[in-house]
Amino acid sequence: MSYQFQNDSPIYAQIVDRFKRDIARGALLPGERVTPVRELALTLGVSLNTLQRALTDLEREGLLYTERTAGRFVTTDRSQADILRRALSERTAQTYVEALRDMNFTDGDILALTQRTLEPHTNKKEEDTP
Amino acid sequence: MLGKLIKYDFRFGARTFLGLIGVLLALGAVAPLLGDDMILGISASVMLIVVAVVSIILVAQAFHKSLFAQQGYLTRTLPVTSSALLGSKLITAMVWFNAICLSVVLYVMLTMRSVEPIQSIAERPWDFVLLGVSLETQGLMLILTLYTLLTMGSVSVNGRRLGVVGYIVGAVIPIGLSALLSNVVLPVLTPNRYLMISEQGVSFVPDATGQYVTVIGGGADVTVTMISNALVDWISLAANLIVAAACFFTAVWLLKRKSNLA
Amino acid sequence: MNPILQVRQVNKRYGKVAALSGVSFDVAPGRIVGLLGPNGSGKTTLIKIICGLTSDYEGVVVIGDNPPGLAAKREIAYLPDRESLPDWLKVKDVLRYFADFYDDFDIARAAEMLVSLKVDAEKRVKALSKGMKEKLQLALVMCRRPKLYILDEPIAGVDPAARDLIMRTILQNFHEGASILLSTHIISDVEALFDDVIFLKDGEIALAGPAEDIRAREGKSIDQLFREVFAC
Repeated sequence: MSYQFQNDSPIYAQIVDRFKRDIARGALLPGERVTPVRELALTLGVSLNTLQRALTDLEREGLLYTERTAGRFVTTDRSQADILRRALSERTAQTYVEALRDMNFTDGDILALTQRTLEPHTNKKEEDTP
Repeated sequence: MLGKLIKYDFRFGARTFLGLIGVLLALGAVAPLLGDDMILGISASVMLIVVAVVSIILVAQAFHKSLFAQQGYLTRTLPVTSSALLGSKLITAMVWFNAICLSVVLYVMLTMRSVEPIQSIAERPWDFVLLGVSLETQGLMLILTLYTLLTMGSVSVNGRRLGVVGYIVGAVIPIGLSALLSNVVLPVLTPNRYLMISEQGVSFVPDATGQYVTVIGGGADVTVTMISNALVDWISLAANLIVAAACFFTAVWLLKRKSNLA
Repeated sequence: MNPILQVRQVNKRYGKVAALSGVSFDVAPGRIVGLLGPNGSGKTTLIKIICGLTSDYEGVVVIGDNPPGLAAKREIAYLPDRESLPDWLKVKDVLRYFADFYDDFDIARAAEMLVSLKVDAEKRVKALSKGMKEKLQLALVMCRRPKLYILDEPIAGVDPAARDLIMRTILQNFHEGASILLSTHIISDVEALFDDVIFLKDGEIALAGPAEDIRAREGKSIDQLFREVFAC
């Protein structure tokens, strides 16, 4: 139930990030119904208020919407998912590159490593591990 | 709410008190087979004392456990008034008191193998009604003094629980008050009922003048006796009832406003 | 909206020792509040005052619109940190007991809960293990619908697997709109659940506020901050 979030930074922000990632990944599809708040809070191991705050933020950003009787749903606007996907992927790539540069990789090294990681069997004969 | 409290207080003590009564009656049935009349007479007195002491301990334990031990965390957070809590315990204790008294009478009848007590009642019913009222009053006084002293023990003064000191204070005040009323205040207020005579003892049979004489106190060569027209003195009775009521309300107030749970 | 609990300048002494000094805080409706502090910091003393078990204190305590007393007792469901049930009754009789005295007690739900918690309804309370008794007390409290639940150390002395079960039981069953005041010294498992936290150190409030604000401001978990504030 617990341990799903880091406790050293605001949890509602982490919930927002998780929703964004799930929408970007397609784990949450456009128009899909979001689990009711109380049940979701229990699953995530967070208080109702924290979850509510996260969901309100997501609604304000246009990623979720509420239909009064029916519940909460992911936006049907597919472009939102694409926007998120791009933003998220760029952030992931940025993190990757920075981590490697921190280890003194050159851009060429980074490219080569990426290639090798993508095709582990065909690149064995390339340069040794830097 | 009071009824529900009584239900549970009753259930708590039922097994123990019925057990006690059962043992008493069983002994009463068996005893005549064992000894002669004198021994039985002595044993009756001993049994009376033993039963009285055991009963008082049981009542005190039940009271303390429910209100001042761990169970207090439950009973004292119930949405019931302090009056109801104490009232329920008083009523159940009085029921046990009467049951035990009845059992003692039965025990005496069994061991003495006589139905004399019942004959006496049949002869002078009104006197025994009065005696019964007097007995109930004694019971009330006893139980309420017990409850007051136990409640006093849990009271805090300046952040310190009174404990044993509370027990002593809580016992002395009702007993002292009752003695004061009976032996000092009433004699002063109704002087013609009291004479300084130096002989009579307690008597349940009227003397030649048709009056009852009861020794109620005195010193080395003087006994103060009370003369009344009835076996039971109404005024003393009323005085004791007032003290008993005062104990009840004091205990309620203490429980509500001054008592702390450990 | 009015706070469900208001505590103002509460002081409590035991002889010369000050158990609580100048304690003031509010609990808003619908909030889960963590009352955090090591053993002996005054948490239970404070709770006893709120529940009406200690009358000898200074300051003001208001539950809803009432001071601690008869009306307030109806609005509080209290789980003490010790065994308090009538141990000569059978479990099913204890359920009846609660139903008899509390109008807001859902006996059917409690019976179901006991089944899923594997507490035998036919056993006498005194025959239950410590863990079973704790589960029973928890079920009784969580099947009421008060304005305020006060849970005193519900997960202390309990193994991590059981802790999860207890927290899940609390969250699944608490009456929506009610507030929970949960006192504990075990924090990392449960801090994600708190809306607000109060640190009680030696009878005084060392820190209080919304948990998320504290995380943002300090850049630490409540647990980490707790260790710093209460470092020996």
